[in-house]
Amino acid sequence: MKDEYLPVVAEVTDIRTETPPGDRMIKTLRVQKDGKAPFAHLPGQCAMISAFGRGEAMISIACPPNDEYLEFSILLQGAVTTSLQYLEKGEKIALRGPYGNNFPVDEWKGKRVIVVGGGIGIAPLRSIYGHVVRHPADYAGLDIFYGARDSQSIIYKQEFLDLLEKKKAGVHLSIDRPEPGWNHFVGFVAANLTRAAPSPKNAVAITCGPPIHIKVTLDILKKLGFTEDQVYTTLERKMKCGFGKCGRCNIGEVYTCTKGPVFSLARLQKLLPEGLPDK
Amino acid sequence: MSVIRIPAARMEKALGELGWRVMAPSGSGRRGKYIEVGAGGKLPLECGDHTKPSAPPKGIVWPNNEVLLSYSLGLKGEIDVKGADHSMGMTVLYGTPPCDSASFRVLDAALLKDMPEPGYAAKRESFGVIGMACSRQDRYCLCTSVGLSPHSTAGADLMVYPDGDDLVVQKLTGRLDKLWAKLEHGAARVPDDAFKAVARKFDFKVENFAFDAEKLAETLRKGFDSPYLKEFSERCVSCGICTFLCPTCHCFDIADSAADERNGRRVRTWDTCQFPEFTGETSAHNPRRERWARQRQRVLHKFLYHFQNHGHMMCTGCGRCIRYCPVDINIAEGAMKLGGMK
Repeated sequence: MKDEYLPVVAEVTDIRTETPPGDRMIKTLRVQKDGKAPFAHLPGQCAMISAFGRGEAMISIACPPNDEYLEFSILLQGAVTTSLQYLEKGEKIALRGPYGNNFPVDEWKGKRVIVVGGGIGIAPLRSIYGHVVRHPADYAGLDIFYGARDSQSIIYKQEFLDLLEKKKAGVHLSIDRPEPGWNHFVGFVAANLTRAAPSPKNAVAITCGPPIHIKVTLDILKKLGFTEDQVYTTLERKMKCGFGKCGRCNIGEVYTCTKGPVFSLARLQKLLPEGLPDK
Repeated sequence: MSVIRIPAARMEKALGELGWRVMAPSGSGRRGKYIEVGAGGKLPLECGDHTKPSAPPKGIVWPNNEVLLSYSLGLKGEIDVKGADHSMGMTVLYGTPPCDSASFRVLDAALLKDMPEPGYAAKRESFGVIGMACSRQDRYCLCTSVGLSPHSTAGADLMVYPDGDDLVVQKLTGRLDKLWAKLEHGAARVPDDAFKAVARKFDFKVENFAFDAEKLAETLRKGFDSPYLKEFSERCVSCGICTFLCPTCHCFDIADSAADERNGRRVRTWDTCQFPEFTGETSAHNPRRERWARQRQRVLHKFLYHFQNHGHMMCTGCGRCIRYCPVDINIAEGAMKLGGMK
């Protein structure tokens, strides 16, 4: 029988410092095992990353499915994640997974994909918009709405600018307050989304971010005419085991680690409203 | 159905010959414990609230502390991880009341379904339950309200009905076939009607809390936002004793226990939904920040969520959480009021 607790030992082959050192520093780790991805995953799934001596943390996989690597964009804030900042390129890392369900990328073929990310909530969304970028023929288009507190907190900045320049996606960046030299939108993601008002016709929208971001985004999407089957979110919950046993991440009878973290708004509305964005 | 009648001494002899570790309740309340029946030790002759220890038997297969793996880190960032051996010598529980036997039906469903919990799964392989029909209730019992009874067989592999100097033994699963073969050899079969007559002696209804939990589940969902939750949990001190002494509560924490900077072990420990930090996220978001939200989780996990996922109640009606609560919080009353039955 498989010992679910035993992690795979892999190598950190690249580290990108996304935001400057400070109390909300974000680093992106690329992880490989013998030059390949430690395990296969689908967009939206997560992995449990170890920092031995500190424990484990559930982190969403921030890259589209591929054979070569896994990537994780980690906000260095908790006991486990802050100790990951000392990792250096070439060092080993232990992780287990993948856990959770995934975005139904096959169902969405032929549709326009709209992602709405707030703060570090853009990380899990990168697995889905990255997938759409890799398979442009399968989808009718891609729009990325993403905002952070300030320009320094915007991650994947160069990637977004490249997508814009190569016309691979509509990228709508925003920061909360004006800054000299910022030539994108100023205001919350919600305001940017309201302003752009994407059409719900043949589209799906996916949102992730702090609870208030998700709540407001869901409201706006409803007003724009998106039905509950066209809207998806991915939720964060405290997790220890990752496979439906430890009893922390449940929303009513549904364990987020196995039956989530991806929920359509239709499914979300059927759940008991425990700690959901509208509570 | 396989039912036999044997002299009580034959059970002791057969278990002794097999050399299995036999665990049995040694007495009631805080004086009692599920302990190993040593050489020459006696198996309990009857079972009831007067033989039910304050601590349930779950710890035998689901210990409070369990090493999951050990790690050692090299000077150049190497990581060496070794899995733990979770196996256990053959162990049987003897003389558990039906409420405690049924806890293993719950734990099996919660911990073995889909992706099995490795520690529990390994120990469960070499663990069996010889349940005993219960002959005495007390004022905290509620088995007949949760779909069980003083003679229900849920969770048991063999069921024993004390009958004078004899034991009537019923085979329920093949898990303890080695024991069954020894007991069965030359023993008298008990015909159906005679067995029913024996079982009837244990067929009393526990009257403390008059509700039917399976019907309650239908209405509990509506109690999710009930203002009564605040009243129900007002006195709660979040000590968690209701869950640590619960035979079915199994929520756990995983933490690293470092021996030094490079070596250590990863350990699974019991945890409780009643602790405020249980669901606290790094971002400070906490879906169960308030006491009432945590008590709601306990009541609904027992009477609704587990039922929806597995088809039986997570409460076995043992009454421990009511009896040992330092501030007299009563889960049965809570469930009845939330479900609009009181």
